[in-house]
Amino acid sequence: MMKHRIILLLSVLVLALGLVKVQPVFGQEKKDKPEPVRELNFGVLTTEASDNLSTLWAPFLEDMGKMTGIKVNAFFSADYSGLIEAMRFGKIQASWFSNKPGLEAVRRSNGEVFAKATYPDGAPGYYSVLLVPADSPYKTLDDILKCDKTIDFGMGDPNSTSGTLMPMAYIFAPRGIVPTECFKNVTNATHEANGYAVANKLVDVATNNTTNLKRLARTQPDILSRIRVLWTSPLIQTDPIVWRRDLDQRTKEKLLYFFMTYGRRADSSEELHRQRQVLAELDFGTFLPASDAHLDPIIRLELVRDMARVRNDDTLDEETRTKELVRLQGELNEVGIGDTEMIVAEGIDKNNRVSKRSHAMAVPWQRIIFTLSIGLVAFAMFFWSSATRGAGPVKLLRERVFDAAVWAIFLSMLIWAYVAAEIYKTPDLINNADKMGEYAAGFLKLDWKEGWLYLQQMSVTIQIALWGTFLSILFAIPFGLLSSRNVAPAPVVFFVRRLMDAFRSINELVVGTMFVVTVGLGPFAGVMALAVHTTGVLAKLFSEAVEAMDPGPVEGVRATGARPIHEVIWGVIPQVAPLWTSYALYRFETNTRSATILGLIGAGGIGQLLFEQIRSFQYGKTAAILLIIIVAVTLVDMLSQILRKRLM
Amino acid sequence: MADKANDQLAGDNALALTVQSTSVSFGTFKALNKVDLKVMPGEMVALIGASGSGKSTLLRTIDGLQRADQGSGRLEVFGRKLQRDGRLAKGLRYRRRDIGFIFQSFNLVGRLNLFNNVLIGCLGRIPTWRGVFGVFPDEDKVRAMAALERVGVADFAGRRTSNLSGGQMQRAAIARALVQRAKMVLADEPIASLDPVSARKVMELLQELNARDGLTVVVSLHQVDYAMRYCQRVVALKAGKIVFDGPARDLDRKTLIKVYGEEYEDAFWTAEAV
Repeated sequence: MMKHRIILLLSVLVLALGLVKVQPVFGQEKKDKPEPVRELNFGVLTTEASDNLSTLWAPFLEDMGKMTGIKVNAFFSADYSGLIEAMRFGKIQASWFSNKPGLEAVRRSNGEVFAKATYPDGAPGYYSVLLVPADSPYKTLDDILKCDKTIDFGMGDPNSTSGTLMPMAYIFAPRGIVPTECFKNVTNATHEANGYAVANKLVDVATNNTTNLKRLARTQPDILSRIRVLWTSPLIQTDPIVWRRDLDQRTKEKLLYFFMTYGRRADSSEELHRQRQVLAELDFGTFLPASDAHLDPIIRLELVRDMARVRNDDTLDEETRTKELVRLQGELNEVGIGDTEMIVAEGIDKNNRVSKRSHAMAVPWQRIIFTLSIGLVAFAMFFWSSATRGAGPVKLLRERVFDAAVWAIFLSMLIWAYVAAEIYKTPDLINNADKMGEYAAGFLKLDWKEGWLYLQQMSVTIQIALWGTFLSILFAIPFGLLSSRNVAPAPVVFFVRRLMDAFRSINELVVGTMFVVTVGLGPFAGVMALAVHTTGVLAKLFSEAVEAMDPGPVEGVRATGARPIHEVIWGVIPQVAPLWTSYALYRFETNTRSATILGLIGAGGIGQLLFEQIRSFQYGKTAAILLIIIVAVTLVDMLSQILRKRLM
Repeated sequence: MADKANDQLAGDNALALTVQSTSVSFGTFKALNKVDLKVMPGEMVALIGASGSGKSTLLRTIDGLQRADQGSGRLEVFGRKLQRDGRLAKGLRYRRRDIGFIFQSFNLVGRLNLFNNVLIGCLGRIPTWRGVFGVFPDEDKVRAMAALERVGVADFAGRRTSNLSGGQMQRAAIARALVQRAKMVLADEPIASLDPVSARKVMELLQELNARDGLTVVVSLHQVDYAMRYCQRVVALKAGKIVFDGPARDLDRKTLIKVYGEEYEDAFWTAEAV
């Protein structure tokens, strides 16, 4: 035990020395030496949607802050690319990644691997797996690789190591198979969603990894029991911890010391036990030192995959193919064999260790008092200024108090929200404008290679919006009438309105995810998500139109002895029809935009392409897609505006 | 004299309209205060009174568009109950088919054409599904065109109603009552928003319905001269109470001042001129 610890500390020291040596090289990028940071933004990738990662990470990050003496801010993102770009532009200094994004961070964001996690059981890594339903007829890889276009295949995120890269490199690429040509359908989703999809037989086969299976075994054993593992990959390295290469030396030392000692050495056994507990919650054992060499197997993976792709690309002539293969082989030979055991040395600045800081949830008294006093002053001013002076009708005291209160509360709320909405960061917009320009520059090289595909997918998106809107109109007509005070009885109005509030306030993405579970990934889930949300919106707009109509004609119809349904059809609807149509067309415009976002949850269409390209950092393609979206949305807008004008 | 006639007819089912001790309040304001009224079939009755005297409320209450206060008596049309004790009768919809209602603001559906507006009159008598899908029987379409012809706006049958003049719309509203096969017409200030020529045309139409078709007509009017010219009987309301009920010729200066108050010189002068 003792020996182990010494070895570890030695390794830390060596690594620290290595950093000192490297420092000047990168110091040239910025002439002035980087100042030690007082605050550190630590990124956490939250791809696995269901586990509440932010609460699980909180104690760990809090300990990190206590033990390094640096204020640690958590930076959670569900999206690989967001974290990587944030690191690229110095918005986060260190982050937990999985391997493929880790590689991107090293390549694009000046990142450097300095540690890696182990599993609680000490396992050195995890495995990519293919899942089938427990009672599936498929038993072997060959069963699913017949390529007769009968199988629905669930792939992971395009950047996911276990979800996409491993299966591509070890199953498809070596056999010269392109999944989209082999299977009936190939969808992209998170491991979590893919697990559910297999268990519910919404897909025949899906990728996954052993980490997610372990989590399922713990949280939802019944789901796991409906799943069978068909194939297991070679070992995948554990997750790397990456920091920015140009982080100052002292901060690096502090961070390294923290990672290497956490869960290994503490003042008391209770404290050690607590730290282990914190790590276990995150599915980590402890951390080991690592370097960029950690990522070598991943680079290997990419190269193997690329070579297979080149080998099978019919569009290449023989010469180009050979040249490419030689190039890739050369690259492969240069890639290291991966991380080896670190040499270890003792001795780390003891000062790094402890700085006591209270992280208790403090009541923000200052903010409260400040906001309240501004509110009171504002109230007094508004009240004073509304007083009647000279000629004119006298304003009632009650009205003056009410008006002043409304304005004062509005002002107080703006001030209160100033902090939460981080408005104080506004100067950054100007100070860091060059960074935005740098980022935007990536968009300037439009890539139209797959332009035809984009157009097709854009039309899919518009079709999703069309059906989503149509279904919502069908539902919004009765719901809208039932939530109009001048048509339906009060209790019905109350109930239907609350229902519509719920429909409206739940984001399309959330509704979409619910439908993904029942109807699987794809456009139909998008249609349903739009339909539910838009029903809520349109019902409200429809009922407002009904409540604003002229009651006369309805009474005219009623006075002939017609039935209530006739009053609605002949008295209400002809009056509100132009407004209703106008609202519906407007929602169609909005839904064309919303349908794009639904690509995020795998609801098909141009949005899915868009997010795949963003996550793979294909900004040229992203820009081409965005341009198509802008043109399409503009056309839809113009068309519906022409229609609306004719109606009014 | 009229009171005497009413007494003799009390309890008679042959009455066109019976209003028994009917009150209507809006908050603390009493729009109608224990009104009793009887109308014989084939009568043409004018309701007069200052603004806010309860003319509109009375007509709307008769048609069940307005509920009477609790404790009010029966409201009957052709011996059939519409309201009692402030509760609407169950078959109110079927009673309404016999009553054509003419509104001051026409209450036609502006975006439908005139023909469809007139066809609405038959909604109460055709099967529900026909009304829902707008599949009107041929017979009713013929009658709708005939009604438009009769009131003199057949040329505008295909025009959007909101594009027509007030007089044309009010005549279409009368055509709607014709298609409805109403036995009684309640007209709530039908000429208040019309020019004098259109107003006369509308009043003549109402008079013709009364004289030729034998419809009972109750019409509320602002203009006393119109009331005296077109109606045999006048009922005057003041502050929700009937203050005069008798033949038009019995209306004299004293009565009118009682109805309209001292400031009433204008209307009285008109009445004198007639």
